Amino acid sequence: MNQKALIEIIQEKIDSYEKQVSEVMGQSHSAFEKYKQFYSLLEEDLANITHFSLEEIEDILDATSIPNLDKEEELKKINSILDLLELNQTKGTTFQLTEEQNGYLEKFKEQVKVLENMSKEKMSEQLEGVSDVTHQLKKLRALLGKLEDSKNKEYILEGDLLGEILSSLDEQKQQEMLYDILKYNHSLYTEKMNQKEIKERPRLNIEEVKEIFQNFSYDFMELNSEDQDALLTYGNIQKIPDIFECLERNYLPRFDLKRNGKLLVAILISSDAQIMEDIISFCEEKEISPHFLFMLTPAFIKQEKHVKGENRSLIGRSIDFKNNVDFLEEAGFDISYVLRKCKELLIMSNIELVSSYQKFNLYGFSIPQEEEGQLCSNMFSCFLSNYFDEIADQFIEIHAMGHSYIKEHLSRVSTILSPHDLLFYRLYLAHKKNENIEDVIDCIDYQNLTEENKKELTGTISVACDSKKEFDSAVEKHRGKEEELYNLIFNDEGILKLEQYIDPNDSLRYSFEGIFISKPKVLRIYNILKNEHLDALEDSLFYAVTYNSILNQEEVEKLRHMIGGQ
Amino acid sequence: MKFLLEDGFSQDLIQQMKTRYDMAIIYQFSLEEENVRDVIRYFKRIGIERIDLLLLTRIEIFMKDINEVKDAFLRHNIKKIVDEINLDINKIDCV
Repeated sequence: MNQKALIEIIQEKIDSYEKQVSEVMGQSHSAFEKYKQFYSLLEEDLANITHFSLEEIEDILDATSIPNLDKEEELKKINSILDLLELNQTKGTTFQLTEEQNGYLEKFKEQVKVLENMSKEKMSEQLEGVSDVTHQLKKLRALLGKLEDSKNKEYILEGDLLGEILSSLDEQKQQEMLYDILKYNHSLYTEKMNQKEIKERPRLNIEEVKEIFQNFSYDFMELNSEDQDALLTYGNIQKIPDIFECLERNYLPRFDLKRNGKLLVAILISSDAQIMEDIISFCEEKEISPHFLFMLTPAFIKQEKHVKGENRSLIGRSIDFKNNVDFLEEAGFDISYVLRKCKELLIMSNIELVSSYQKFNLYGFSIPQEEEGQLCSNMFSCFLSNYFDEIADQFIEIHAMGHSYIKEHLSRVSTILSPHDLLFYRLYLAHKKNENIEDVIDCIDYQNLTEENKKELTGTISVACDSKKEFDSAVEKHRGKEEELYNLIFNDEGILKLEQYIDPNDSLRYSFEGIFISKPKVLRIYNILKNEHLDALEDSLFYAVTYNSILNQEEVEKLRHMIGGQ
Repeated sequence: MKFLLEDGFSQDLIQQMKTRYDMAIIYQFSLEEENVRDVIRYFKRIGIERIDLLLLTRIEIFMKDINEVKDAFLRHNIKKIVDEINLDINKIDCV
């Protein structure tokens, strides 16, 4: 669920209601607190009247219903009392107040009490006046609390409240958000059912489990205590022997319990013989060696199954595993090579694997020759990471060689963590100073650049536009799941207009009078905005062009002029 | 993933790993604790400094059998390759 977007909307509503309440209640609440504090001081000791300023004393007298003549008289008397008390405090004198003087202070104290009660009454009246708003606030805060709590176990059922919160969005977005909430509730339901299934099962009898292990020539006590406990708590006594039989029947390698006990326990708890048979027979058909299977435990777990842990992530990949194998084969990969270099690809979400591969092609990267000597594959490392396209964009925009550079240095794309990395700011500076970029990359000297001063030292700015918040939200929602680019994008008027700026030396970037912008980036981001029906907004193309780009004011203005946008 | 804390890595790193990688991969990583710790120990022993960066960018290395990792490094002058990796993390792809 796009919780972030919903949380933002709710927070905005809360802020607005709080402001409303504060405007109404602010003054009366602060008056009440003030008189309460004054009274408390006087109650402690009448001499504490010296803590009050003359202005405060006058205000108190003005606020009470005493005829003007009496007020002036009282003020005079209190002033002289104050003089005496201050002498005692500052000069160490020991003047005693007369009974009459004490009487005046008592009367003053009573006046403060009256004012305290009056302001309290006023506050209650006003509170009643905003009771609807405070009631809504309470509900909103409770809903926000649920959404922000990663361990929340309550369904989101606040239909009316959600209807009100989402009413400011267009119909499509409302439907999408409501659908997201349905999926969230469904996922919670599935988890509760899983948990229920586990809870209803009593803890297994250790002797029974030991016996089962022994029947299959395993020693239960070789497992570490944590794994033993997990199996006894969450295991199913019927499934355990079935799984062991399945392993034996298919001649699968035995587990070293001391070293790989966790893997076996994970399978005994979360899998079952039926899924195992299905996956094993699939692997036999694909000639996947069983040696690899136990390094791919999620493949043996039912799709959409949760595992007890600190998060609610779905780690069951029984269907994704098969789809990933099929997909990679169709794409021309040798599965045994994938298994040797990066078996983890096979247990990724299929949607994300396909998206990574499509992006890889979009950027014109070719599948490198198999290099048996290497421990890893740069290309597969790129597939695993969900940000490689954003890193590639930065190199296209900042490095003089653009796309050609990253084709030759694919590893850089997967080892840089963020498109806002200091390296890119350093390269930007190098470009401005006409330094040799290769020398800069080979021997990075950040020249006092830090996260805090990188924009200042490079003279670059954060690009603003009117609808930035909406655009950012749309991009975040689709991160890692970019839809396949439709032909519609290529026929879009805005995109067609940009064709005149294609860099003659690099077809994967635009050159706006020397400002390089990654074309795949523009297409990707604009495609997202189009899917969200945000492309009609005036600055949508400008946003897509400048997304993540490192630019100074002059460059931004130039782009604004050439593309249009607010 | 708690074992990473015991090995001196930060909670922040664990969080970054969970953001960067598919949760099924993180789950598999946590199941292969023994092997992962062996690889970490080996890297520390030969002097690799930015193991945290490798965890963030090359998680798959830590899920290779420790013997395979050692054999890969043994094909090189270990001191030289480690120095190169410490200067430029991308040199891990030469192993």
